[in-house]
Amino acid sequence: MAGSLVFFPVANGDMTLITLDNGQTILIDIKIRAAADDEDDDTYDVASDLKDRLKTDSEHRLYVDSFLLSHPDQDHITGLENHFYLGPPADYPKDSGLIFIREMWSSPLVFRRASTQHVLCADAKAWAKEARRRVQKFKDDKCATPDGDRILIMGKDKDGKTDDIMDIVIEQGGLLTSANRGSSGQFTGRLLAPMLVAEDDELVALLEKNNSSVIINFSLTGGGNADKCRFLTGGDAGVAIWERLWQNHNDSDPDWFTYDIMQAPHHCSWRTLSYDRWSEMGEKVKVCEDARSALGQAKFGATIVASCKPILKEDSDPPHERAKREYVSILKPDTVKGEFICTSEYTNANDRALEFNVTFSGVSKKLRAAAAAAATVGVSAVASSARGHG
Amino acid sequence: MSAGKLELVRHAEHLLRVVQLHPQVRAAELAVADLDECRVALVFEVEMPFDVKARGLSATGVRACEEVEIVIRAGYPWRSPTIYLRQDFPRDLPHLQPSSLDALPRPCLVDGSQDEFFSHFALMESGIIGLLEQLASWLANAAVDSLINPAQGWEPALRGGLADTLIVDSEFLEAEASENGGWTSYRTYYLHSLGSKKGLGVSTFLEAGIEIANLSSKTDKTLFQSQQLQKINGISGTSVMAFITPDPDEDGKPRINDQYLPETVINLTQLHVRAKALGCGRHFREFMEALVKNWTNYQFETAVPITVIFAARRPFHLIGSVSSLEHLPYLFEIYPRPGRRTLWDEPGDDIVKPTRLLSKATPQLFRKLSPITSPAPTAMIGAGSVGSKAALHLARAGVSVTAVTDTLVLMPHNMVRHALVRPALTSGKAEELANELKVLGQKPAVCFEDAVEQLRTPEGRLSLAPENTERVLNSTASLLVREALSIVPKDAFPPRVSEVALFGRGEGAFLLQEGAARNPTIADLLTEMSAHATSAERNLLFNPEHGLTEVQIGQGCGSLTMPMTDARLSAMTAAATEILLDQKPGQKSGTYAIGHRLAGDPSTHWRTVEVGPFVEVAVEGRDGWQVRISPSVDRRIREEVALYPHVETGGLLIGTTSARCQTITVVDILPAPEDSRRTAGLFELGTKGLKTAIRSRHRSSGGSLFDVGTWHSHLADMGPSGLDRKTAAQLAAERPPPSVLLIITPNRYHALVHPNV
Repeated sequence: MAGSLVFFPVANGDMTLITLDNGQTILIDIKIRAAADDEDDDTYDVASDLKDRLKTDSEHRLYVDSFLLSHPDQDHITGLENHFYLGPPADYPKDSGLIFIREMWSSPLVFRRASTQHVLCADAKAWAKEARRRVQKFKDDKCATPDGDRILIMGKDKDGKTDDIMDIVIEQGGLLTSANRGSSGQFTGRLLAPMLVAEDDELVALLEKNNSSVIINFSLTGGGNADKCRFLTGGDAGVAIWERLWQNHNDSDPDWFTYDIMQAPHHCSWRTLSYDRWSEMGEKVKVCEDARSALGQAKFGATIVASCKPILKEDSDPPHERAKREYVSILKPDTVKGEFICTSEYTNANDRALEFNVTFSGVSKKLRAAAAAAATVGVSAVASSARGHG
Repeated sequence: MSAGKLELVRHAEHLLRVVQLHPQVRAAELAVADLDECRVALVFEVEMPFDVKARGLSATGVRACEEVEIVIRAGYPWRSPTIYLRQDFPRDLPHLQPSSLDALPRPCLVDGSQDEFFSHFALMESGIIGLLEQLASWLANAAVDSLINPAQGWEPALRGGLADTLIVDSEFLEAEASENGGWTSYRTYYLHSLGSKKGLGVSTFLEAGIEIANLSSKTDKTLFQSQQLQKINGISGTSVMAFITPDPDEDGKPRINDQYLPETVINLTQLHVRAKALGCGRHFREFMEALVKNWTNYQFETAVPITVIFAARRPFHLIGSVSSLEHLPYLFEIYPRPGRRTLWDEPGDDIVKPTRLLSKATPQLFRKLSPITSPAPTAMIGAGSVGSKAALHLARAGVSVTAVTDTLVLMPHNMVRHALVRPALTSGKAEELANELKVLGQKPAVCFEDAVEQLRTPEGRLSLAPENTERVLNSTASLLVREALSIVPKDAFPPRVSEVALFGRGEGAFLLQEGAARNPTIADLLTEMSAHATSAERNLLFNPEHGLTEVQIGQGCGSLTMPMTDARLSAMTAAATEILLDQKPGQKSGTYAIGHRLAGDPSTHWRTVEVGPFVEVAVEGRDGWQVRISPSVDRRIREEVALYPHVETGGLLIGTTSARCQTITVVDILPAPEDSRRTAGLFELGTKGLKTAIRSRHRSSGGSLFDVGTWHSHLADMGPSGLDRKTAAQLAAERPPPSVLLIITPNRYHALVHPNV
């Protein structure tokens, strides 16, 4: 077997699918826009691509084993109600084509912080409702919960709200070892954030403003060999969070930050790397060294993936061209010699999602399927725009 | 510039334009534009694991950016472009075409013909990109040394495109391979074509036998022979092949050759080096010495081809094989000229060429090529048109055909549908079929005797089905043979019995496969099938219009046969044989499969029905007689009894009777007429409408099924009563065929037939 990592092109937003060595799947965030569902719109049809990659269970339901929501912003959860089934497994509408979520990975703390900043979108509210249903189900049935009722909580909630369900809570710094109670040895996931801090109002306010997100450093097994790919993903987590993580763990656990693939946080935004405002200071801005260190532990040959629209110098943040330069500088030294890839730019050039294979020999970019050959030579190019015929 | 050149250069320029579209092509240019050849040079980016890519060079020697040449020659685009790698590309990788060290290495990009692959794309452009995709994947695998996947197996060196061919019995050589090392020479037959003006090149075909060639013999003059063949401008003759296995390694264990050696041997010196590298050096030297010594006092006008095979034991099994022995065959020639000093006096005499290696037609080879679930060794009873075709289907699927039985001689009119094509005067069908099967590596016994007679004696049974036979396929369509095969005791005749037959002028066919312990028998199955045939099947099975017809095959010589085309017979026989080949191993129940052609359409519809064992009840009053009750009738009787727990009930039995088999087979029941009486001590079968019901059932079965007796229940475990015996006597007096009185009690059946009939 081999594992894989797919970064779907969703412009500014995240949508990532991990397929483990044993075939199980972990989906991280989604952004399935109405335009992508419209077959006459040229927006990449991520929903179909995702569904083509998922397996079907004995009841003919497409499913993901685990679904992690990094944080409840619209560009990370759009399309949930349209494409996923939420509710008791027994009530799944037959032949609906909705994706069945065997196990949710959710963080009430991140939700709490997000809701202090803005009103949650309908998809986010639907996620929260389903998460509450599953937590209640766990309280009722304990570990006997079946597929579709399961949930893991990413990080303790404040005020001891999760103390009675610690069996399903992964604490900050703790390790995820299986997806939907599947076989272990397929991956480990170090939960770096959210951080629960004591009642330090200033710090809480800072974290709330910094787009608190679930941050996990995955170590994936390939071809039966452990740790063949480190994948660091952290939603929209901002500079203060990365700075603080580095300060807290740099001495004791520097290994927690190393990666072969990192998803540049917040769609390659400048606010991940610096407290300075570009709009006010321009090229005089300073990078926060600790945040850069947290994001700079690239292994030899590593790739940084920016899940965003094409990166242009004059465009609004995110993505930010200065941030891209910083990431490229992380990858440049002879000790790294890595590659920076923007998902939208990649898909525009290749007409498919960016994908990596994780095998016994390590992680490499996946070669295209032969079917793509037709697109390369220009089949269907005639139909790509309206053409006058006088 | 000639038109021809313009054409090729135009193609090359187009090729250049297309390859530049590929995302992994970093640079491309037209390097050579000649009359007969154009070369496009590429820099191709290889996908590798991150760390390997950053380093720029893989452990196997593949670069992150590889230089590649795409070459087109005359014939393009009817022929695929050829893709070459750089001169110093590592050659110790599998999936490289064999070539000398001077030639550019050529990766094997597709399974099968690259020309076919290239041209199967509708657009030529897609063909070019398709080849580059294969190259991308080849190089990516080469970079991480996964061109060979241990789970899939060791990839043998590629030899498919070589000019010379050696045919061997691979399984035989496999069995002969010694773990201690050694060499053995075998007689070979060869055909050497010297080439013709029409462009056919020089090539040699050799077939190695399994007969040992004794090189030290002073008297054997048959080892080396040759004769000119004017027609093909060639030479045929006999020679030898040496099969050489390596010496054990230093620990005395069988030597494992886990290094992939590029196929670059071109002369005898290099062949010696290769033999040594494989651990075969000593034995190869000994063989060559014996060969030279054998020729000391002889001379020949022509060159003689000699082949050697080195057996390399690989660390794991070869792809598509359980064996880990890879056979590496080479061909060279000796020149025993008059007045020579050695056998290789002239320059170029010592050329060595690797050859293609093909496996002889053996059941083992066929089995690899035919996925079947049931390779049980099978004896054929009947070698007529259906039997001969079924036998060839079985043999070609790798099933061992252990014996062929038929009493008849192959006649001219048989040629209309028989699998064999023979001149007028031949021998028996069985012998002719057996001869044909021998060509397919089979060794069937032949029996000309009548199968029914043969089944009576132990020797006869062995001649029908030799010891290792696991299955018998009866294709005689003879009722007598079917019955004889149904009553022969299992321990006296252990193979599982099947029968294939066509009906309705080839519009229908059935396959019967008896159950374990000969229950149900094929006779049971046919009766059961008759009882449950659909109306379409019944029409074909029983309508005389579709039955056997007398056809004139010569003046005054009729032949009872069904007129149909050979194609129809083949279609039905092939489908039935396929079902036989798919039989689940270890299946306990019997099955019947029945198929018929849909009206006006070549499609056939088949259905397969599993039938459990029949209930066997010994008949009181008739020694040796038996009532055989089908599982469905047994179930229906018990259901009916359950409906009347406090009174006796009963009905009429439908089936067949065979005096030869001494069996009454029950496959259906008719309900008791409405004027029947049911009390606690008595069941009286009424008469109202009964005759009509029986006649109708008889008609609907095409006259094959009739009333064979009655059944009724007893509330307690008691056998036939006085009244039952009286009724049996009455029944016996009324008609000659035996009528059974079947009684079901809570724990068992009783069967009674009046003894006086």
